[in-house]
Amino acid sequence: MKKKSDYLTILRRYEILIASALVIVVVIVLSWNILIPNLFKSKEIYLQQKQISAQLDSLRKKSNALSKLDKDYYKETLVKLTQVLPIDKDFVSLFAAFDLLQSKTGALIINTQFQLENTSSGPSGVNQRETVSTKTIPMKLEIIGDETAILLFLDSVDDLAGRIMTIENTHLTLKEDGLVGAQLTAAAHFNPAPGRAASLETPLPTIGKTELETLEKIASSVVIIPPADPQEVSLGKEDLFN
Amino acid sequence: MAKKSINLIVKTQAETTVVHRARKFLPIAAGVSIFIFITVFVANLIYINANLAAFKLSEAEARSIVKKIEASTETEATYILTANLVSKLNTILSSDLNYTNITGEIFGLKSDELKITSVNIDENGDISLAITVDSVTTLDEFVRILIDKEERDHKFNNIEAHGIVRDKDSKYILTVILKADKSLLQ
Repeated sequence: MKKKSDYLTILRRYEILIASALVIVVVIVLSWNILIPNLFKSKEIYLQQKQISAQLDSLRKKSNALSKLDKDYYKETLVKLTQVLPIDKDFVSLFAAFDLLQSKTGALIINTQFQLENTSSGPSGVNQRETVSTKTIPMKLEIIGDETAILLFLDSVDDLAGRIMTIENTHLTLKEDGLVGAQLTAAAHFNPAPGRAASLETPLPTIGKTELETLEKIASSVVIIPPADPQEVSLGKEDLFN
Repeated sequence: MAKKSINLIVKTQAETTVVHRARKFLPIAAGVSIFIFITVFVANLIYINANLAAFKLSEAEARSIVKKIEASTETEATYILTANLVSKLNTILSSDLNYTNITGEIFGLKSDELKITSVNIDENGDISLAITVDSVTTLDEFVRILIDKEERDHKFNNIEAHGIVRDKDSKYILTVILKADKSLLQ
C-alpha cells in the first residue's frame, strides 16, 4: 500500500515533466510516421507539377504550331518535294526530269547510263556515294545542242523544277557546225530515310528562311506527275493487219 | 486522554538542477514541438490538396492537348517529312557546283581565229582546253586575254599551255590547263 502511494506521489510530483516528455515523444513518432512521408509526397508532387508544367508548355507550343500549319499547302508541297528528292530511286521522276530538261533547254539527251544496283560497278569507275545521308544514282549523260542549250541545260539540272541532279564533271566537244556535245558525269539524289515521327512533346522542326525559299520555289515550279494508270496506256492495235 | 499528533506537511525533497530546469523548459519544448508539428502538418495538407487539384487540372489539359495533337498526326508527319527533305535538299544545293559560269566563260574565249575543240571541267575546277589557233598573233591575243582573266578578273589561275604543235594547215594546236576560281563554281 505504501509503495503504491509512493508511486502516486512521484507521479504527482513529476506530472508536468512526464506529460511534456510524452507530448514530445508523440510528436516525434507522428513526425516520423506521418509528417516526413507527407513532406516527401509534397516534394514529389512539386516535381511532378514542375514536369507536367514543362510538358504542358511544350504541348501547348506544339499544338499552336500545328494549328498554324497550312495542311493542304504542306501536303501538296510534299508531293512535289518527293518528286525533286524521292525516297527511293524512282526512275519515273528521273525520266520525267530528263523530258522536262529537253523541252525546256532545247538540248537533246542522246545517251544515258545508270548504275542500277548499289553493289554493281558503275560505268567507268563511277561509284555510288553518299551525300549528307542522301543516296545517289551515279549516271552518265550524253547531250547535244547549241551553246545556249548546253548552258541552259547545265543551269537547269538543279533548278528544282524536277528531280535534283548534280554534275560532277563535264566533257564538252565543240563541233564545226556550232553544236556542242556534252558528256556529263552526274548523280541523281534520293533520300531513303525521310525521318521518323517524333514523340508528342518534341517540338516541330523549324524550317529556316532559305529552306522556305526552296519550298516556295518547288511549290511554284514543280508540276505533279500523275501516277500511271495501266488502263490508259495505249497497247497498240488489236488487229495488226488492219 | 493522551494527545495524538498528525504531521500534515508533506515531506519535501530537494530537486536537482536538471529536474528544476526540465520542469521549466520541457513544457515549453512540448508546446513548441506540438505547435510546429500541427502547423507544418496543416500547411503540408493544404499544399498537397491545392497542388493535387492543380496537378489534376494540368493533367486534364495535357490530355486534351494530346488528343488535339493526335488528331493532327497527318499534318505533323507531313510537316516533319517536308522539313527533313527540304533541309537535305538545301545541303545538296549548298555543296552543288555550278558549271554554267565556267562554261560560259570558256565559250566566251572563242573567236573566228580561235577554236576550242574540247573542254574538260572537273569538280575541283580544273579545266583542260584543246585549242586550235589560226596564227601566232591570235595565240598572243589569247594568252593576253587569259592573263587578264587571271590577274585582273581573278577568274582563272595556274594557267599552263602544253603540247603546242603546228599542223599541216599552219594552225597551232595546243592544250591549255587552268584552274577556275571558286567563285565561278558557286
